[in-house]
Amino acid sequence: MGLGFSVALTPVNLLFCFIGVTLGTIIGALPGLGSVTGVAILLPLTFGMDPTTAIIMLAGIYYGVMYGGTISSILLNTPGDAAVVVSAIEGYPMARQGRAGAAFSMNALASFAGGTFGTIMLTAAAPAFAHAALRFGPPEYFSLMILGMASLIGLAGSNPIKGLIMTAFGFLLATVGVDAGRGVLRFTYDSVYMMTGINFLPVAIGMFGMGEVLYQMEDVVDLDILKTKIRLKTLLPTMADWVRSRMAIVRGSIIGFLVGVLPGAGATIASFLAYATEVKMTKHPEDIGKGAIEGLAAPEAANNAAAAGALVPMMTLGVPGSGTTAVLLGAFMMYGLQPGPLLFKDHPKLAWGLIASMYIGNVMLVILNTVFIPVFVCVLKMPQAILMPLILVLTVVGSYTLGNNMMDVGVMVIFGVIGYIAKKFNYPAAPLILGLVLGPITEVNFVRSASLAQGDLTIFFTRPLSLALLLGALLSLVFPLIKILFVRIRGLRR
Amino acid sequence: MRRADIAGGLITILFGIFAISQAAQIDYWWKFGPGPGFLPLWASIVMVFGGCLLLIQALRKPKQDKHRPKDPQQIKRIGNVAAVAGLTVLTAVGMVYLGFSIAIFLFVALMIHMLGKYRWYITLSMALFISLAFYISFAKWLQVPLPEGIFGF
Repeated sequence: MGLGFSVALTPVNLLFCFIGVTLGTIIGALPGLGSVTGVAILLPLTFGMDPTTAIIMLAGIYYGVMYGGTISSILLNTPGDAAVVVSAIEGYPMARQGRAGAAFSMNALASFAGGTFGTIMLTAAAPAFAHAALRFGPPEYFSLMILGMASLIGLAGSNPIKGLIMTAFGFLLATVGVDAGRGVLRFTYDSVYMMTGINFLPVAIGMFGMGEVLYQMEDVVDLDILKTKIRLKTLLPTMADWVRSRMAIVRGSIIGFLVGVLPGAGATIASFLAYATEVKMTKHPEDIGKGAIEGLAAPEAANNAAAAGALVPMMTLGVPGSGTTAVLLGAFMMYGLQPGPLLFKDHPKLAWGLIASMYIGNVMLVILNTVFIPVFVCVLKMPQAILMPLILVLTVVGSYTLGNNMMDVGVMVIFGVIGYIAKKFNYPAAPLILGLVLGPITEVNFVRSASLAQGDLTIFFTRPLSLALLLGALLSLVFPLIKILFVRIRGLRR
Repeated sequence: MRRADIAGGLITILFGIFAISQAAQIDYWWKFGPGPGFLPLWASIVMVFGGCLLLIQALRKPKQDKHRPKDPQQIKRIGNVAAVAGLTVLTAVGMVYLGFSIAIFLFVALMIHMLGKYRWYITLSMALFISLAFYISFAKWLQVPLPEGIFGF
């Protein structure tokens, strides 16, 4: 590690780390440009740089995007990336209540905690985790996805039946297009666009961003009344907020890192699982969905820990842990570096330099974010008459930039209307997004498992890890009922 | 809300049945495992199941008081929403012909005018500022291609 810090603390590397995290934060804050796009867009900037510096800057961008994505989730209910969709669920209501400052501070600190935890674990035990991750086969992945979906369905505070419907709908939407495992066209109705499937990002931007704007548009006359209600109560979280969130941060970091280590499962799933866990464990279930700060802290810690965790398989096995690490992997290879077990042996300066710069990047980000909170919050002070059109433009641009395709904008608008209807009649949007995002992974692993077992579907129950995960899913669905049962039994005893 | 949930349940069931009919046309089971139609079919079945549960749940709720005053603003609200949604669609279509900058400029100007009663020069200058800011940041700085219309930008 000493070697690492000596590399990371050189002025050039520090400078580019700083540039990386700043650019990453800005890119992350713009809805529509997620971490994959951000790293990919800024990759050409690193041409001609020393490989170590380039990798450090790219990692800084990667981290920065995680921090920045939350900004637009909290302020505008327009998540820029799958990993920060969950942050909008609690963060946006907090902003509407005047607690945006607290939300941002908590985001910065939870992300810092999660990122640092993840980096420490990466330093200490990368090879060990990589070995353990190899034991995860298709049945385990499938069961993990089921666990993720089951956790979200049983959310306290919203109708689980509606949650089930939305999850199934999301899953169904995910099947549109070319079937990944078998190359068969499904539900494409002879349209070239449909063949590429329904991308989750226009759906998410539409449902959360445009849906929210449409909902606000109901009462145009009252817009200015809303403005005066949103006053900045405090820039920092209160003591009560801290007490509520400290375990959330711990749990989120652990879940985030572990999920991040699994190749193919990244910050998105980590954030959903952390959020779902927090919903189950919270002492204030009545606040869920209305600005429960621990519901923001947990996924934020998780997605930064997962970002670190995703580097474990990438650096030790040469297997990318997420979409963004896949781009990073490409960058590594571009510079003639072969990630894998030999990376630490052949290029110790680079490998440890990278890890050390992640610590530093985390510190830079927490300072950057905390200092700029008043600036971010000023956005809220903008008159709604200007903010609302601005959000709409962002949604249109965000969905267009995905593939330079107006059809994506069309999808965004359609789901904007669906999102409005869903909001009006209390159908939760997050399960739909989750079904859409996790659907393909779930299906691919289901098919692979079935192939492995030659059609014998009991494989999910005979493999111990898979069985454990499925039991977890069952428990997750049943847990709320058990809680009610306990309360009744206690009531009877008195 | 009760009536809305009944409607929601029915719509879900109908959509689910439609999805089942579509999914049934795809192979259900292949030689060594599930075929492409397996998961869509089950997802649709779950939707229908969910819709039925919702319907039952809604029907079991006590009927709402018939003398509840109707919300007079209802139509106006939906009108607002439809107007905004429609305007967004028009802008998206307009972007193809007029180009990103002009379409967005018009859109923002119209919306600000609709929402806030500012003087015309404030509205126009805000719209100009916003559309320029977007153009510069996305098209120039980030080099993200934005639709160019017949005017070439």
